[in-house]
Amino acid sequence: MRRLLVSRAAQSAVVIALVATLAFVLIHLAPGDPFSTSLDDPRVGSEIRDRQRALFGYDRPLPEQYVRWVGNLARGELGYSHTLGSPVAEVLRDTVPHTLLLMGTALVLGLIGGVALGTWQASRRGSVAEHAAGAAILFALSVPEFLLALGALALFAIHLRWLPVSGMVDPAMHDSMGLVRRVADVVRHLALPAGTLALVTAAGVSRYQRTAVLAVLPEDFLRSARAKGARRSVVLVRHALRNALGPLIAICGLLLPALLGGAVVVERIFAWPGMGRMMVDAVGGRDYPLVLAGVLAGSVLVAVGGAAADVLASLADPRLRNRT
Amino acid sequence: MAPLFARRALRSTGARMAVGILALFVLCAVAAKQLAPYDPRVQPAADTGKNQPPSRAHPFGTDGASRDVLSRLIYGARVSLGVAGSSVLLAVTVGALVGALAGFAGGWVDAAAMRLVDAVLSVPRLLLLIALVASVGPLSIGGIILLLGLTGWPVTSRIVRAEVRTLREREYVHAARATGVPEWRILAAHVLPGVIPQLIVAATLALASVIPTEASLSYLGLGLRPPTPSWGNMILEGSDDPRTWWLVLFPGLAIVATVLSVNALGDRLREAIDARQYQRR
Amino acid sequence: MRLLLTTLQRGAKRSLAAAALAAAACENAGRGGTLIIASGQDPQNLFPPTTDRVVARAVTELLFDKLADVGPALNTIGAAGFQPRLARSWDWSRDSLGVTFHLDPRARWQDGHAVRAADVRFALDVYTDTLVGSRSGADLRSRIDSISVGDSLTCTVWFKERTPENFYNLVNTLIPLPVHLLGRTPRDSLERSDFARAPVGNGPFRFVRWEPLQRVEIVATESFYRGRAKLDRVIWTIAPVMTTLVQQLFAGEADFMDELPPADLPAAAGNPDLRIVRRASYGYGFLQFNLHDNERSAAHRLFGDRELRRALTRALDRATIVRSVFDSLGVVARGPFVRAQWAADTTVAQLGFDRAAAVRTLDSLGWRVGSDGIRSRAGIPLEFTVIVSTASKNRTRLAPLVQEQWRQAGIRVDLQSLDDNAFNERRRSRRFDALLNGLATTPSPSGIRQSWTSSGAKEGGFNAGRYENAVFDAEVDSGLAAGAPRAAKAHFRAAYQIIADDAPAIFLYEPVTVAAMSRRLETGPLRGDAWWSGIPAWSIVANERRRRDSTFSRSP
Repeated sequence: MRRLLVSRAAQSAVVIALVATLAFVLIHLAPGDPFSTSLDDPRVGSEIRDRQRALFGYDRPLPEQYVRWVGNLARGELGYSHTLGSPVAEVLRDTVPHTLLLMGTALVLGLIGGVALGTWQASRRGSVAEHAAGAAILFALSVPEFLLALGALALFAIHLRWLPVSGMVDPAMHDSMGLVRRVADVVRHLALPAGTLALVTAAGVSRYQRTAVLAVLPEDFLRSARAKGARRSVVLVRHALRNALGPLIAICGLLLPALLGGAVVVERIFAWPGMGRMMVDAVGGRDYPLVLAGVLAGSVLVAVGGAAADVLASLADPRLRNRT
Repeated sequence: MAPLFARRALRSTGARMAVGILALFVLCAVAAKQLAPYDPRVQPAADTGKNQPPSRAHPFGTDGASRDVLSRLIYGARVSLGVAGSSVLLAVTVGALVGALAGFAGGWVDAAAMRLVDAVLSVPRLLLLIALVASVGPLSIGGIILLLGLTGWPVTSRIVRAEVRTLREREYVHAARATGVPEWRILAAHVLPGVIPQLIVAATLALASVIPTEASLSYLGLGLRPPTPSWGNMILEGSDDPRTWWLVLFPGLAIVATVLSVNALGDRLREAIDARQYQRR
Repeated sequence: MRLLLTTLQRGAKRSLAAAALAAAACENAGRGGTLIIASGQDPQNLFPPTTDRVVARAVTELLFDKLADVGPALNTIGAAGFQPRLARSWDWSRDSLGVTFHLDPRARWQDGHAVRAADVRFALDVYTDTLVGSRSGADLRSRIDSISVGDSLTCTVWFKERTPENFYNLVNTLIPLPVHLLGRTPRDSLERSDFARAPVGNGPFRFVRWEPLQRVEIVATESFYRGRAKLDRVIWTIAPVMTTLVQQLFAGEADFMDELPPADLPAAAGNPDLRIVRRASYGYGFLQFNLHDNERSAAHRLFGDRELRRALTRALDRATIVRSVFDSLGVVARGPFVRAQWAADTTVAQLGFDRAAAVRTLDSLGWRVGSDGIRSRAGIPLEFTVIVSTASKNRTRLAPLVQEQWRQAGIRVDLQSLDDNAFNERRRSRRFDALLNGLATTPSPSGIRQSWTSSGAKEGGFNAGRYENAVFDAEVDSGLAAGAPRAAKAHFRAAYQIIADDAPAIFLYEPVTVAAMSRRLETGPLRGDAWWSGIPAWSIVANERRRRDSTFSRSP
């Protein structure tokens, strides 16, 4: 177990270092820097631009900037964001938890929905209902998240007016609410973005789950379970989960990158104050430190999540332990 | 061998419908000029004829510059499918080469290649693409194909590596090695042909992920730029106003139908291959 | 019967009580309420010298008072019509090079300190310090010689030269800053100080919170020296996508949007809960030709030719283009000015749409139509690139319209949409044939100098097409130096006519900006250059109040 942990950690560290370097080099090859936009004004003389550049070291050769950046990174200094007027670390502190909340909710909802759906499908193998469900799942997997999000926005927020259009809290009322109502407020705002992501996740999970259940449950077991009637679903879920839990956790790790990618789009459409939306904004403003921090945070999130999933999976399922 | 599993895959109605839909879109892409009822650039009445809902003259309506949406959709197929197809070709080629090399060479080559795969896979693709677009700036069609291709190969390489490692241990490969056939010829003559079915499945997987990715990128305004009509940026242009639903619905349906067909086809192919392997054992 | 009587009495009592309540309500009429503004961006920072974005300017100008403010007539010449703010009054020195401000003794910083003359001097110091990087620093440096402090409430600003817009430029840009809070902060870190994110002002509102990507909140200063604002608080909610912003307004989640996209006008006009208010606009858009070839350092192969530029202008039906993109929310621009400026002149003769004339000119210049419908001369096709920034939705929509109209005249345009950074890089380095761009101006016409005269043509200047005409320059300079509005206007008219005839750019559109707002809101007219300036007097209609108008926690 310890060896697995150590090797997984080392592996992640190498990967993250690689990604960070790659991102740094690429982004600095781009035309423009933070000051070419923010100080692009006929009233600003070039001496002011140059001074600001010098202040942040953007006038230095690339290798020197890289060494300085790595040094700062090692000391936990991520730089200063010009588009949001605050240290990058603070921006991350403000946005990453929101993304985690969104992704976490989507993952949990998606897992529950996906496991239930997949198990149900396995138990009804070959039936018309199962085929219909399979088609629906394939459909859900084929719709890009931004289309789902736009559709959900149009239906639930604009047409039906059931849920708020955007944001994470009611901007005027949230601070005067009691704890319970505050939570309810966030849940209302979370419903559409998390629901969109959860739908996609559930569709993916259900496919794994269906296959997994079919693999562990012999055909006659299913038949006898079916014969026993109502209680069969309970038996099924318990039995199927016990065997399929390990791979399922591992799959969560694999789902993380796609989920984070989906979060970028969904956060933007619903104005969810997370790091995905922050990154798209930062790209527009050539906010290098923020873009880099976003890529890094995303990679760390995926790496840590993936490693945690691997470890948990091997805890849950001893058969997986000897594989890595 | 390959045709057999393909034929088996096509036995289902779903798969045949999928092939039909894809063929239709490919036809649109190839013969856009002949099929499109209007010139997609022409704005017959930029002020009075814009944002018209679907009618007999314009079955899919007109956009904000009075251009025919159906014609733009047909020309958009050329761009969207062209970009998707080319980038998948690139991704699958790179992935197959890396996977075959890693699987066949083993040892440190394998380890290094797989770490690289882990690295690329551990960054969410859209995030990576956003950072890349931020750095290389505005993208030409070639640029976007390159970016999508070079971020899409790891999955293929994993699949191919796994398959190569199994095939490598087959008796006929051992036999060939024993008779002194050079390694590269074994790879070319005995291993690679066996990988082809898996490669096709990998290509469908890649295709099913690259189309939404390109559309998302275009929707974020970071992909293909107007006035080049791609399905993604048609949606971007139309999504401002919920009342002009036809500007979003039809390109959206085109994307969903394509991806759905590719996914369905991929599923059937995978099942056919599994069945074949089951029989062989 | 008795029963009926008591009921009547009760009813009378009830109506009496209701009347009393109504009277009480009348006393506080208009007081209270929350205004929610939908914004597309974060403010970036809230330090007045370095604010740039509209949100940031709106927030800071409600937190900080200026010395004086432009009056409703938006006159920028001399000091006529200006309204007192921090300065209760001002008087000019005999040579009109110096102006002495008398500060209002009741003005207070929100930490309780009095606003003093030293704060004005300190602010000027900060604005003009290149370490701070203020966008208006260079302008103030070139205008102002020095500032002297009389007593704690009196200071005199000395100008270098007498120019008509000295006073406007001074009071409109310079926002006094608290020296007792900022005096010790190193100048180069002021923009990144805590103050820049949570400022302490002296205006009608005070800062409560700024949550990045979410909201900015300010509340009324209770004992404000010019009288408390009617609203209790103002909140900006931030969403990056235009659709989302508009829908917030439609759903009643927001009350106000300063710039409604043209496409949403019909829906907003048909919405019974919303009101549309036109406000003067200070922007204009144009297609600019590059008159020089940077690589060969010679005249541009096409656009060096004045006749060709004029023909290209005639080949465009600007009215149709503007109608297509803006519906009723735009008018054809008539030159490098906006109609709301005092120097504007809509009688400038135009090169109107006349495709036949354009085609004749092109033919006579030797550009003949080939088999592919494209003109060429000596084997070289009439073909060039137009770049446009994707940051502007309007211009991105406008570009293909221009492209198509020119195609019909046998001109091939390669349209390149670039992201904003790449676009500006190309513009600054002059690597383009033609570009679509827009400029934001102010009530003062002085911006024309940087944008269209030869002083803006050098590397990095805003005259990206390098149009240089000595007569035009002279007219602009005379117009800016003229003391009397009539003389100034005559010079500007001459300048506008010269540039319209030379056609270094095709002036395309002036957007008519409309704000959309909830009917609950009473605003009065919106000032074109700063719609937010009237917010302290805005109110929420009493019987349209919602829960969010009454419940809020005052503590930050």
